[in-house]
Amino acid sequence: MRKIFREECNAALQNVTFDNRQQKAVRMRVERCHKPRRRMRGMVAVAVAAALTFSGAFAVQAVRDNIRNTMASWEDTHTGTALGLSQSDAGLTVTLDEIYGDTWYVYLKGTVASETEKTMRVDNWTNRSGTQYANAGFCDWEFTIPDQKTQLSHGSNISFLSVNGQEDAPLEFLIRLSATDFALTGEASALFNGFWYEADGELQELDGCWEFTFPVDRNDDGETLLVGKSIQTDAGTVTLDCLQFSALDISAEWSGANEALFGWDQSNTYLLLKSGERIGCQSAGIEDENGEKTRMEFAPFNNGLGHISADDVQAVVFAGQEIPVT
Amino acid sequence: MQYFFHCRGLIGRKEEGTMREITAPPSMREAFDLDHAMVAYGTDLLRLCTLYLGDRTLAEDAVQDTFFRAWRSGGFRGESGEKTWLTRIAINVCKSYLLSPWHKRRADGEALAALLADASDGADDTLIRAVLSLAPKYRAVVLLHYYEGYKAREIAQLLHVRTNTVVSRLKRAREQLKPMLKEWYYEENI
Repeated sequence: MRKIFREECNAALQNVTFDNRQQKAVRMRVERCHKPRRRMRGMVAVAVAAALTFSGAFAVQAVRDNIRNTMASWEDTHTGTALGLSQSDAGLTVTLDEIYGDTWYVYLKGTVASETEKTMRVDNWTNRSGTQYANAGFCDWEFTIPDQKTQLSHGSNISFLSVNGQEDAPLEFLIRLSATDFALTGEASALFNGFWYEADGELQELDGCWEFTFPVDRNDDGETLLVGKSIQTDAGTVTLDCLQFSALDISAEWSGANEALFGWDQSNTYLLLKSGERIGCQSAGIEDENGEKTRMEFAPFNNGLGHISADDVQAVVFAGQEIPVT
Repeated sequence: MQYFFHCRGLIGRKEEGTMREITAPPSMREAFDLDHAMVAYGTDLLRLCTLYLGDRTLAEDAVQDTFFRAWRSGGFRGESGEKTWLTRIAINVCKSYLLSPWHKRRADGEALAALLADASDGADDTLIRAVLSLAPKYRAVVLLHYYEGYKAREIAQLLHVRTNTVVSRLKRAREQLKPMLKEWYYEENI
């Protein structure tokens, strides 16, 4: 049976091969990180696009605007904590400007600037859904967060904002940390090892180390809207348990038929706002080992629509079926 | 629940407090030839990850992560084969992908259709659909046993679970597969 099983699978996957393009991607990743770091306390290096792969059916606006529009809306009613922390190494100054935090996420705003050049020339790159970012990143990073002995690099995203029309400004980045596991207040640290960027298609790498200690004082004010409504799909019953509203993002918790939740029709799954706007889904992941809870994230930074609260939402549409939440 | 990685290739779950070593001290390692490994095992690992994740794009990321982590670790223990070592890393990478919604863990709605459309030209996809319908923990043992050919004891070592657990999961997976495959073909000892 094993032979038949393998043959059938291989026949169905005959076009699935690890080709030269993918091998080259691995070699590039190795090349980017093969230089010894002065400090290698860091977590697994995450290269090129690892933290930058936001996507979504509706995410066609540049992420610069998405972040800024949503952040501006949030700042109207909530103020982050200014940090103003800078570290210079290898000719590069990394600054952490501000921290925001709520129940679900902690966000850090920062910049990277060259000490020798007035401007850093960095290429943009565009992901599959048309969202543009600066083609830059840290080679390794880790965060030590309050009340948690282990470091966190998994569960963190660092997005370098695209540089269109902003060539004379420092390169901006936004860090998003999953915050559900750590204390509301305390002291955290961030360590960045190595910085890479591409300029005119040429890879540049700086072997620096930038370390910060900063206070976390977030509010447990992420909004949760309990829903508890089920729908039937071809793959079984799924239940929308709740919606979680963070400062800049919205997520949903689901339970029920695992395969339904991982086989949804993405183009017909979105958050429907009372204004008629839609926010597409971005991703989903299993929350527990038994696969009973699934967390779905909608398009990052609310797709540039500003901060959204429970009152703004009319329904969640899952694979074309509308689940009213009001 | 928080999953995390260590820079030297350790992967663990903090609640359990069990950091699972998948690399050995330098003195115990066999040299790792990245180029050779990618040519020799890349496609096989990609198909395994594709079947496990049900998403070809995600699987490509997983296999690239696998080779990168293998390279970062510097080598593998001589007592297990190189492919077994890489398979273990790949499975752990896939598990972390499935368990984390933040690290590109995308269960794209069009993934399955795209996978099946891209993967073959008219080939029977009944088996793949059936396997993908299993919960990840069952899917893993089925793939490692029936696709990769590992014995229950070896799968237990790969997944860091007891052999009885593997046997039990295989039994339950077979029970779930049986009705889905009865119209196609099915042997009692699948």
